[in-house]
Amino acid sequence: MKIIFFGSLAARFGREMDVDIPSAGCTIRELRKHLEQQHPAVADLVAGIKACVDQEIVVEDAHIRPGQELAFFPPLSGG
Amino acid sequence: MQIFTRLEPDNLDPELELKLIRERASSAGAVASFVGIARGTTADGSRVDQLFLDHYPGFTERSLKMIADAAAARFEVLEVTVIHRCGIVPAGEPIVLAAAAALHRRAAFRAADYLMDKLKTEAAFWKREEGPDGQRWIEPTEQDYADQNRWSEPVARS
Repeated sequence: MKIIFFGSLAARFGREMDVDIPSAGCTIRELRKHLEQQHPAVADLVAGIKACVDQEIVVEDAHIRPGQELAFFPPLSGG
Repeated sequence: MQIFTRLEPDNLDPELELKLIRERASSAGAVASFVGIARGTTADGSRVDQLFLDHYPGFTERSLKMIADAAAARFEVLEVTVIHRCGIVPAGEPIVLAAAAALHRRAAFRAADYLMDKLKTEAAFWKREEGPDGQRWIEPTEQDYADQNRWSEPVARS
């Protein structure tokens, strides 16, 4: 599935990245494990960042399926 | 009570927007506003030519609305307006306009103050300073996070 990045994460890894997850989906916790194997540098940098699925911040036990939108971003900085 | 929020990809004209606010909130006795401007230097004094504001389409607009809605629910205001740039903002140009119109000045001042404190850490943007010495992503300061604590849980209005 596709992960989208913003801010300094996008500067480092690009706006989008693909990660393989089971077709039935998985939890965010499990997705991080897949990231550790496929993209360890990403896994490391997003370890402390909550996942945003379909534009909502979710808990680690939340289930995500291929086709949903997953984003990681650094601390917000507006104004 | 009206709430206006807008993500602005092009030029933000605070004077024009304030004129429109005054025309809309014709019964207001007070309009308080803040304009945030892209600074021409970094924290350590290096020159900044422009800011780039990254944003998350859809999510960013909702974050502006949530902040404006919270201000409108908390203060006795007639209108809340937040207009926030995205993309490239040259140094010296406006990044954001936050304004509140009310019958009386206290609510207008406090709502505008609240809007800016919330925008600093809850508006979905990521800022990059760009200048002759390179580019640098900037994050909220300790002061920005501390300013969140100025606003305790609201007491229900009687």
